[in-house]
Amino acid sequence: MKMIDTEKLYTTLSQGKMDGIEKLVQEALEMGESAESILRGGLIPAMDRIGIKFKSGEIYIPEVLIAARAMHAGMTVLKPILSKSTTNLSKKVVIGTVKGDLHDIGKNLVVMMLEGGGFEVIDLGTDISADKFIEAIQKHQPQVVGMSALLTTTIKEMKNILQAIEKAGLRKKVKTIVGGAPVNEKFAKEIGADGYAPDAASAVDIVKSLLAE
Amino acid sequence: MNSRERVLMTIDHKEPDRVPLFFNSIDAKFVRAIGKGNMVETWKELGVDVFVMGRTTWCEGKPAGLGYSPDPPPPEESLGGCLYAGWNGIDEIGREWRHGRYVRGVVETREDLHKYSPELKLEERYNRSIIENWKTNYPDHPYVLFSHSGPLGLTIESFGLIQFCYALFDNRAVIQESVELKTEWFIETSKYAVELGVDFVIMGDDMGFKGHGYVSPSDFKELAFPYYRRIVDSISVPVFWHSEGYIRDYIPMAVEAGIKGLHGIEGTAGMNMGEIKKEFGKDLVLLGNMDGNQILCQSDLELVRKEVDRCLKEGMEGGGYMLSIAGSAHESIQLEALIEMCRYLRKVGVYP
Repeated sequence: MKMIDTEKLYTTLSQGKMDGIEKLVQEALEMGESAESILRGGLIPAMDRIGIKFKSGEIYIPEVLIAARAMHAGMTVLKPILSKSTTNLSKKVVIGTVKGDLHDIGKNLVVMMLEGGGFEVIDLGTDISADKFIEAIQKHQPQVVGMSALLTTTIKEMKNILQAIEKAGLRKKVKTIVGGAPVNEKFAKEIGADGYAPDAASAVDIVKSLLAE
Repeated sequence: MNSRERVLMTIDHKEPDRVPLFFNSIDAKFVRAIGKGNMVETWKELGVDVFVMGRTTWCEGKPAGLGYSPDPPPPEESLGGCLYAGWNGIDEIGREWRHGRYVRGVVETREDLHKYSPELKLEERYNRSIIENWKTNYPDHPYVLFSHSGPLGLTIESFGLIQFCYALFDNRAVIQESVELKTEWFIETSKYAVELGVDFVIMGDDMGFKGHGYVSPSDFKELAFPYYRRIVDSISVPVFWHSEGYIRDYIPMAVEAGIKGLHGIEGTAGMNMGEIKKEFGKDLVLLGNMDGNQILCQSDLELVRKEVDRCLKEGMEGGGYMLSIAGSAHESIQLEALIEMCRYLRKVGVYP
């Protein structure tokens, strides 16, 4: 980064100052910095630092969420410019809580963390059937599909969705991750998911590592 | 030794004849299958030592929340893991429910907070006749008030987690006022339960996810610790704390506030009961921490017995321990696994 003070950006983001982030992003643009470089060299690394601090127990969910909200404010400035760019900057993630399950707190945290990580997230909501997941994959063509469940009775639906993705001929086109209270690494492997995220911050790392494969 | 003597000795950190068995709530499907719809028969059949007194809340004018009815709702209405869980709408505290499951909070402003600050309604909130009947017919059992209405957890639920987090930075005064109001409500409604005869109170105040607490220890110190202390100081019986999730970092403050017991201790969230016993076993009675997410949700009874053995190994030495599921006996738990857990505890949970 030449035009933007990355440390100042990080500090402002970690304090959750939405106005401050918008101003810094705007100033960088006015000084000739590209939107892509502000995103990749400034905002995403700053959110990465927030995620590392969360995982190490230095900060907690409220601090992460206000940073993600500030990140979102910065993105509202950048998005119109990025959307005109010929480069497809952001990778897409389709995410939802599976059929029969109405819980969305954990899933919403994952959405915020992924958006903070620079991903475009299509949040399908709760109680999402396999058909709706397939429809969303065909429509949005994401690189990753995330499934969440809180109940032991509904995690079975994850396997049904994975089978439906396979049947629809989409399995090789997307990576899949699962998460939620009753889900663990062993279960994720058994049903054939590509990744398991034990918490919201890890979800970003898992998605990044899956896309790097 | 009867259940009452067993549990009171346990609370006194002494070794009784065997480890007591505790449930905070049991799904209606178990009450039907085991006790033919009768809660007390279910407890007796399973060998549960503590009778749990519920506190009614109202949702759209209908009774909701933890409570024990002689006529529990049909299974399709009891999805929330408790007997009275078949409700829809926004409850008197500002929590929105769908098919008995919490979906979000609706409180955003100070006006909302006051709109959703419930009246005491003490006579209506407890079923005095059921409790008096229990106390007359089962004086050999101890009684507890279990209420999922601790001041900070209830604030988080009534705002919704994400809005609560924003409000911590944008509108902290409303959060503080909410905790204050809920603390006073908790105290007054719990005092009434003590008058009805409970031996201890369990304050349900969920404070953690898998691996992380909801808020920083400094926020906990400001927004939970002084209120826990006030609750402890205002109620004449021991106050225990129930929380699911990872709450390890808050335990020293809970002990300092005077909390006498801990229910939950969710292993799958990262809580290690053996370590907690070593560090806080002299201060806290531990109630936990059978895995209700995996082990009790399957039918391999050998795994269930191994889990009981693990809990006893970590918790029972020196007394001050009751075996319990880390959460409630919810609908996903297998009936045979639940019964085996109780049977096996009675067999192996005996003190020498």
